[in-house]
Amino acid sequence: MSFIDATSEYTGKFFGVMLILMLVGMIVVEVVRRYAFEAPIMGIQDVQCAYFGAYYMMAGAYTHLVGGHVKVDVVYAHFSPRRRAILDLITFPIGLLFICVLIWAGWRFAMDATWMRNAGWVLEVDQSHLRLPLYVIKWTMPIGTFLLFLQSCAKFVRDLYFVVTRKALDVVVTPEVIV
Amino acid sequence: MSIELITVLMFSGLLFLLLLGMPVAFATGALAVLFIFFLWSPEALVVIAVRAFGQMYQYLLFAIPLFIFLANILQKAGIIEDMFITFREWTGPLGGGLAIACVLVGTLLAAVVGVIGAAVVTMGIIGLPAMLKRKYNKGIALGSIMAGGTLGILIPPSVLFILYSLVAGESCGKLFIGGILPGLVLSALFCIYIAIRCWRNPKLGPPLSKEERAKLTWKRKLVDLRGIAFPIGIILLVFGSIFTGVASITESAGVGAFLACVCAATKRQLTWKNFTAASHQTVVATCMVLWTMFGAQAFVTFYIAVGGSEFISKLVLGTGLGPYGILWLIMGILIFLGCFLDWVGIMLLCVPIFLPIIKILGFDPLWFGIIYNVNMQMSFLSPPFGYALFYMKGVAPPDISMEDIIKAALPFLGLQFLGLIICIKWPIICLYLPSLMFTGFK
Repeated sequence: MSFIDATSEYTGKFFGVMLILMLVGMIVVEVVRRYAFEAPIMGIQDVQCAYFGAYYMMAGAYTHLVGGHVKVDVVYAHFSPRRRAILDLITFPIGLLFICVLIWAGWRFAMDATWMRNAGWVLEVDQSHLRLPLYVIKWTMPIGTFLLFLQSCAKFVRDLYFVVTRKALDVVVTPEVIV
Repeated sequence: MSIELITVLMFSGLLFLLLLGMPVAFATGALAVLFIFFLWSPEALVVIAVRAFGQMYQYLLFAIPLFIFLANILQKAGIIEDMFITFREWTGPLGGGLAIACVLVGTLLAAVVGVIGAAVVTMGIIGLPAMLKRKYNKGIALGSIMAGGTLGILIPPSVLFILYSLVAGESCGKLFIGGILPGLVLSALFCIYIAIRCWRNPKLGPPLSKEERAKLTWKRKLVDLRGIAFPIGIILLVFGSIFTGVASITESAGVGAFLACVCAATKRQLTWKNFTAASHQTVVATCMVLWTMFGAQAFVTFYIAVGGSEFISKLVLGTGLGPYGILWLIMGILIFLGCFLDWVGIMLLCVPIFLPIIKILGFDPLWFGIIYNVNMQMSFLSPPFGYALFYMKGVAPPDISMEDIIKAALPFLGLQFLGLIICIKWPIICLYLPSLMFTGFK
């Protein structure tokens, strides 16, 4: 449990900090290169896009951990914690449908980009001139959604424990989220 | 299955799941999975992943974390406080001056960041106690902070316009530039309203006392103008590059984020702790937007593919209302949804369905994007579900109840509605600046 939390948290935080550092760095360097030296790097935008894709895929679990996925708190927020936990138990399998489909489809995409039955290793790269390793990016989807799957299961176990024993299993520290 | 039945099942299912407290992203996504599985085939589920990958390659999209980060770093570095101090010195001697200062901070900050949270939270922490200490009326104090902060999403740069431009295929630069005047109109409405209320009843917002005013020499006022120098520098740079087309929006956002870091560094606030905290908040906020997009996009892609868009068009056009009648009908639906859903969900569910109707009626999609945003201003303040209300409750002192906050929001909701009427009555407010822009640039 705490292992799952920690995995989600550190993956999310790591990608969070890295993305900002890399993106801001790349953009500033790119703009300076273009205007000061007239020597832009072709295809750098695809690299940035790829980073960004990896970023939100890998951080989905962290967002789930801190309860950042937006809900409609009209009725739900007025229930007692126990009733909320019961509702979460009921909706868990429904949400799982979506996550499982993402894992499955992401897995197929990633496999197609990596290894084929009759051609062996493919290791698909980008069409641009930087030859970006596209297969690495495609793997972030099944891996990221798998983390989200684990995180949902962890939440399910916590809710179940809480509903049955009326005690919290452990404390999850949730930072404040501002949009 | 007929389209009527699908429509009813999909939307009642969505309503049901949302009321059960499911996150919007998972509720919409799961419904899309169920419907695709049963109505098409299991193989067709791949379409959800295809859309998700397509989303990865939208260069414009990652201006979103950059703008959110920009807001977070400015907040962490205390730049917003500086802005408030500057404005307070200039407007303080007026009745209701502090409340007007809050609206002005919101307006200026809106031109730097594309989100609302940073302004509402920070002004709630510093502006609200300052006003309550001076015996300001609660309604004026709370309302000015929330309404001023909400402008963040209307005055460019704006995360909402970025998403709209992707969903509707409009030029994001034009939307940005078009949002300026409506934003200023709303800001002016708020200021005038506060000034009139406080002028008629000075007890609502007493001006600074004589002693305090005596301390405010012209020299001090001018020196403290440097508090807004950095934000104005960032604004000029970001707008300048978008308006003239020298840099893409994402690049402007990146350079803006870099400048915000520089700005924080000059104040010795660019610590590793502040930087990582800002990044972590950014990652959660960005994921919230993007995962909601995932789910809602799958949902609406399916609905449009089975003919939902034509169905709704026929339904709406068949009401026999004139073009403006239908426009107001759409606005009414959006206002209603704004009370319950967040703007990302509304955008992805409604814009793809309503946009064809707007085009059939001969309205400019660019204009619709802007009035759509003006409309969404209300969704932040409209109870029971409004972000500004929640943020305010989160930072307000404990003796301020949710009822106080909602009551404070109501007159400003009215002003926002007035702003919407003005923008619909005189489209030139939205369309004048974009028409001056460098064309042929997207």
